[in-house]
Amino acid sequence: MRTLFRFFYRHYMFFLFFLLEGTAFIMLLQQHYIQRITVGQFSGYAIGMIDERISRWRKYLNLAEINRQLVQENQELRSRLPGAYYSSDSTGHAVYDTLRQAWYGYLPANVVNISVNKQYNYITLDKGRRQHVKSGMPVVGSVGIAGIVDNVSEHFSTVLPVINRNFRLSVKFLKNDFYGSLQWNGQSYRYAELNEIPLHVPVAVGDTLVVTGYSSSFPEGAPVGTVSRFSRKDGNFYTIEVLLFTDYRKLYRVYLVKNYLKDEQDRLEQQKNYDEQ
Amino acid sequence: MIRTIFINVFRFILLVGLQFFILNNIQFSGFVNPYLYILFILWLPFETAGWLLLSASFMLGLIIDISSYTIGYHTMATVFTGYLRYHLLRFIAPRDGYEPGMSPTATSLGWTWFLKYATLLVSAHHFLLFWIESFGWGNFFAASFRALASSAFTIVLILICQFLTARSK
Repeated sequence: MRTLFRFFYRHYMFFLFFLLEGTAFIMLLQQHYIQRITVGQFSGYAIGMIDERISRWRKYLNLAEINRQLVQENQELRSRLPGAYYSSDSTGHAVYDTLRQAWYGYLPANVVNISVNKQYNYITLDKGRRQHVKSGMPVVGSVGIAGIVDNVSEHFSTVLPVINRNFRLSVKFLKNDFYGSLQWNGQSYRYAELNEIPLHVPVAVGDTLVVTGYSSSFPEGAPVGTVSRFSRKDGNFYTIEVLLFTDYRKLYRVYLVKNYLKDEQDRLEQQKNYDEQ
Repeated sequence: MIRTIFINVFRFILLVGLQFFILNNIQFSGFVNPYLYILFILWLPFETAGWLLLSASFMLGLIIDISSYTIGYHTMATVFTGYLRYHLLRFIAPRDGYEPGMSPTATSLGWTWFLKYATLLVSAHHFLLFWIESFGWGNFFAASFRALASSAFTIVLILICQFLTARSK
């Protein structure tokens, strides 16, 4: 017994090292679960507040760039106003439009924290449960998609961007509707990777990619990026490098997309599953 | 003794603050990220007990992890660095031991010695951190390159810190 104690005492550094390293490793494996607790409760609030301070300074320093983006967006939106079109309507009276019901709503939010140089990057937004943000909500920037809401606290929410290795999204070619799975290979924050496109699909550099309406809650056709390079890896599929429209290093203002008809769709789909069982 | 504890606690807070408020926000060219906070482990006094060194490393990593929305990555890297420092300093100790009350700085042991010591520990920390982060062999070379570039940056920052403190004495 005594020799055992002496043995432990002599090598206590090794055992302590092993214990602490093991603890850290278990925390790393349980990462998603722990993050859910901490981001939701304690650090999400405290660090969110500090991050907001920092982001206020950062925003001040980047005012010129933000202005340029907003002007560009305004220009884009103004060109879609009814007044910007030539009217060929000859009836001359107002029509109550029951054909077009609002499907998606947009809630503007500010980026309070963002990383682009990690393997698992995250974005923090200054909108949370108070603004009815829910986990799974899509987030779009002014030029392309930005990510999907991950966790939500009272005042903040974290977003899983395309440049996180856990991100998956079904996207398709705008020109011919062939679709594949978009993910990130962890290398450059400007490029993502598109897989599962079979070899008979005509692919060209510069092709535009948009979101499909199937798996995600993004509005169908939300812009993603363009093909910048493609190669044929072993097998029957292309590996396509996609230049993302959203530049995450210049992302300051985003929109949370609210799907007004999602509840109805979910109810219907659940009902179908219920009947099958 | 109390003065040493006070200085180290102050340094801890200062370095964590610097990392969180400034260095985590500068993202040079998208992949270089200096982790200056490791200087805390480098500068702990020679006679720091092993258990204290490891616990301090663990705390440092944990706080950096929480503040950068990751769990476990920095903690694993700092605990390893602390353990490595313990054995490194024992391995290269002079025969009659280190002078009591001294810290492994350039002022006490010379610039060449300090540069070697810092390079070894900083690269160990950075390489481990980036490898754990990339998790898998697919990105092995990309991660190594990022670790190398970031280590170089961190070492430059550490030398600047060392230079500034050396002049004020």
